[in-house]
Amino acid sequence: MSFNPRYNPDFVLTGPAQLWVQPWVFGTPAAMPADTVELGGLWTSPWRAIGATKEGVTGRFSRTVQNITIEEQMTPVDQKTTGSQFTFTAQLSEDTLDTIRDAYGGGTITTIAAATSVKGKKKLVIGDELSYIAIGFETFATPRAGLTETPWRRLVIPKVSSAAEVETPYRRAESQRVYPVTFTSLVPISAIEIYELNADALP
Amino acid sequence: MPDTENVEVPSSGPVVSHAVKTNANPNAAENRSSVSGDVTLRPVYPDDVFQYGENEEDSITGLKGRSFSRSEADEILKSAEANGVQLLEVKPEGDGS
Repeated sequence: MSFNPRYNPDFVLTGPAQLWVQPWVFGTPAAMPADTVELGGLWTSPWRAIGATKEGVTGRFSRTVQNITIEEQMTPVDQKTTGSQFTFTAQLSEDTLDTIRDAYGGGTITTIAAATSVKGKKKLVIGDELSYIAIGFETFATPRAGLTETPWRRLVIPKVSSAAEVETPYRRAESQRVYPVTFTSLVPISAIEIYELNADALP
Repeated sequence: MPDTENVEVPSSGPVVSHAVKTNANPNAAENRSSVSGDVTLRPVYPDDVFQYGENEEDSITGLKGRSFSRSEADEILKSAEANGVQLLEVKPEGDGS
């Protein structure tokens, strides 16, 4: 006797993801881009793409639970959430002051434009305290019949902080400079909404 | 009279506008098309500073930003882009668009 489990190979996906960042501003939560922006399209300012990564973007969700047990049952009768964490990590590979600021947890950049007898330059002052930012995430979603554009999946975490041990090797030829980042959600899990494009707009 | 340079319009037809060179003082009265300014620019990160002119006073910072005439703002935006800086055009309050 043979047995074929049910599955849909079209729903097995690979492919990269894109992270976008913008500063967190009290009273002005970060907004998802308009539905008219296609997958891979530009998220308008103040969003900024984090740029190249060495090994793509990794999302990590964890939930710690407390088992509720009774004498009469060997397995827990319930589990209650005691904590959760939602993070996105990447090894940023574009060596700019913006990347360094994202990786080191915040700071301010002063830019002086070149002028007559004045060289153009930038100055980054790393913050003593963490700064808050918002992140946006975008990737492919599962294909849908009749959809005329590539389906996307998007989410915005309106407030995150970036705190990690950042080690950047400066090598002649072995590897590029990288700035590891870990963005940790600072909003309730229920405040994060994940959207998927499923169908074209009706006429 | 500040130096001016023609701005090429990417279509057939004559040049229709002039731009003020960035090394001119954007605060000089003859370079402002309006006294109060009609475009407000601010950095994306409120504490960042973009010094667009030779003097420290020629800077944009903060959530409130700074107002400019349209032509000055276009020059500053060009300069900001050339220097890898994002500036936001702040919509006036009450603008529902």
